[in-house]
Amino acid sequence: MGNRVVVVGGGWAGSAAALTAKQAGADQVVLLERTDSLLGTGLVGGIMRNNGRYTATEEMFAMGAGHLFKACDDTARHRNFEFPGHKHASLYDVSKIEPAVRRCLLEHGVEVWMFSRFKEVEYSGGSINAVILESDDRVEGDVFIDTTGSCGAQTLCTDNGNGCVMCVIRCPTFGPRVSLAGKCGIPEKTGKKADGSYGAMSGSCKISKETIAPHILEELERTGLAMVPLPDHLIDTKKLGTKACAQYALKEFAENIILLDTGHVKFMSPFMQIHKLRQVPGMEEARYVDPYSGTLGNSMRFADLSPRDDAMRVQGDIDNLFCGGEKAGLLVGHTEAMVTGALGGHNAVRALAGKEEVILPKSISIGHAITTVREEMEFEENMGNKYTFSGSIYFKKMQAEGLYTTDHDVIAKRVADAGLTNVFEQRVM
Amino acid sequence: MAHMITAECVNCSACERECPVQAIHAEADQYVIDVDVCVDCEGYFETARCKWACPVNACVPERDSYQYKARTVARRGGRPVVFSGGPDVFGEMLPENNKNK
Repeated sequence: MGNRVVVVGGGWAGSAAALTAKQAGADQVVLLERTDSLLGTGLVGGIMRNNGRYTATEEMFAMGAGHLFKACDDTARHRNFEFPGHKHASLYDVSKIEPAVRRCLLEHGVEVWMFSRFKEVEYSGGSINAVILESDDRVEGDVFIDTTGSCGAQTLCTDNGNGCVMCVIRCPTFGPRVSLAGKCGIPEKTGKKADGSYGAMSGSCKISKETIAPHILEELERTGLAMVPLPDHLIDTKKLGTKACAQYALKEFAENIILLDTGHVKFMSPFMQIHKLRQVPGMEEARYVDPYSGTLGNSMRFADLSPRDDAMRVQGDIDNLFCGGEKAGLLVGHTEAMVTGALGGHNAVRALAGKEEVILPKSISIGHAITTVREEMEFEENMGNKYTFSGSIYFKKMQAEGLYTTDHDVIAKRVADAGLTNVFEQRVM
Repeated sequence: MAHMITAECVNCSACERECPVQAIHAEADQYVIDVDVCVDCEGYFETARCKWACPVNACVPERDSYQYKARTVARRGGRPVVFSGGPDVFGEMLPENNKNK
C-alpha cells in the first residue's frame, strides 16, 4: 500500500488536513480545490481567538498543529480586542490570509491543485480508489479526506435560503460543490434553522471600506470595532434566529450595526436591504462586496453533514475516508474547521500506517467539542443547534466543564497530561 | 431528439418550472432532462422552453452537447493547475499544467 493522501476541498479544514497529513509523514499530499483560491468561506471570515477559541487555538499550538493559526496571527489586523459578548479576539486580514496559507502549505510540501472540482468517485470493495475531476482527470489515492464543506450548490440557497446572492463560494463560475461522502452513498444529515427549515445562513457581509463615513472608518481601523446604533425603525430582532453563527445572536447585534475590521468591513448581519443600511448615519454610501447581493440574503450552510467517529473517520461502507470542517458536524467557524481538519488529516495517515487513530480526550476542549457535538447530533432536536468554542451553548458547556482558559501554562499541562504534546508533529510513517 | 443540460447549469430551477412536460428534475450537481420525456416543446412552444428560460444557456439541443461540455470546462479553468515544490518558486512560479500522476 502506498501513502498518497488526497484532500478534497481547500477551505480551512482541507488546508489543515493537508498540513497535518504531510507532518505525519505522508509522501504525497494532494489538496484539490474547486476555485482559484484556497480557504472558501475563510476568505470572508477573520474572527479568531474569541472566547473559547483562544483555548482551542493554544491547544493546537501545544499539540504541534499551530502553523495555520500562526498564519492567522501573523496577518492579524487587530489583536486582543473585545466586541459585544466576545473577549480577546483577533482578526486576520482576509486580503492577506490566502497567500500566507498557500505559502505555508507549499513550504511543507503539499501539492495544491486549483480548478480541480471533484465530480465523481471510483470505489470498489469498500475503498475509494480515485476521484474524478470536472476535467475528467483521475486522481488516485490511498486515503481520502472529505473537506468539501457544506455550502452550495445554488439549489441549496434557492430552496432553503433567499436564492443565489453571489457569495465568495462562486458556484456559477467554478461549478457547484459536490460531497465526496455523498457520492459514496453515505447518508448525510442536514442542519436546520430555528424555524425548522433546512440549512443555516452565513452570519456576516463584507462592505467596501471606501463607502463608509470617514469617522466610522477611523474608529474601525484604530480599534477593530465600530458599533453604529440603528435608527429605531430599522431594529429587527427576528432576523437573529436565521444565523448560522449563534454566538452572534445577541441583542447588541440587533440594535446596532456591528462592524469589524478584517480588511474589508465585516458587517455582522446575515443580510440587510441596502436602502435600509444607507439610512444608518455614516452608511449613506455603503456597498456590499460579499455577498454581492447582501441586500437579500447570504449563503446557506450545513447541508451534507457526514456521520463520523471521534477520530474523524466517516462511518459507512468506505474504509479509507475521513472528514473535517463543516462536514464533520454542526461546528461553526474557522477555528473549528481547522481543528477537525487537522485531526482528520493526521488520522488518515495513521490509518495508512496501520497505527491506532488518535482520539482527543474530553480533558482538552477540542476533544470535548468533537465528542459532544457527535453525541448531540444523534438527536434530531439538536439539528437546529450550532456549536462553537466562541459562544452560545457550547461555550457555556466549555465553561461549565472548566475547560475555558487563556493561561498558556494550564493549556500546555493539559495537553501534556493527555500525552499529546506535539502529537501532530510526530511522523507516523 | 431531445434537449440536454450542460455542466454550466447553475441549479436555478427555472427550466424545471417552465418545462411543459415535466421532463426536468434536479440531481446532485445539476438539473437533468429525461430524454425519453422531452419533446423539444413540439406542440407547446415555438422554441424549447428550457433554452428560453435558462439564464446561462445551459439547456441546449442534445446534438450540440459535446461542444458545450468542452467550452464549460475550458471556461472554468480547464485542466487542474498544480502548485508544488515549495515557496521558493511561489512568486514567479509557473503553474505546472496538466500534471496527472
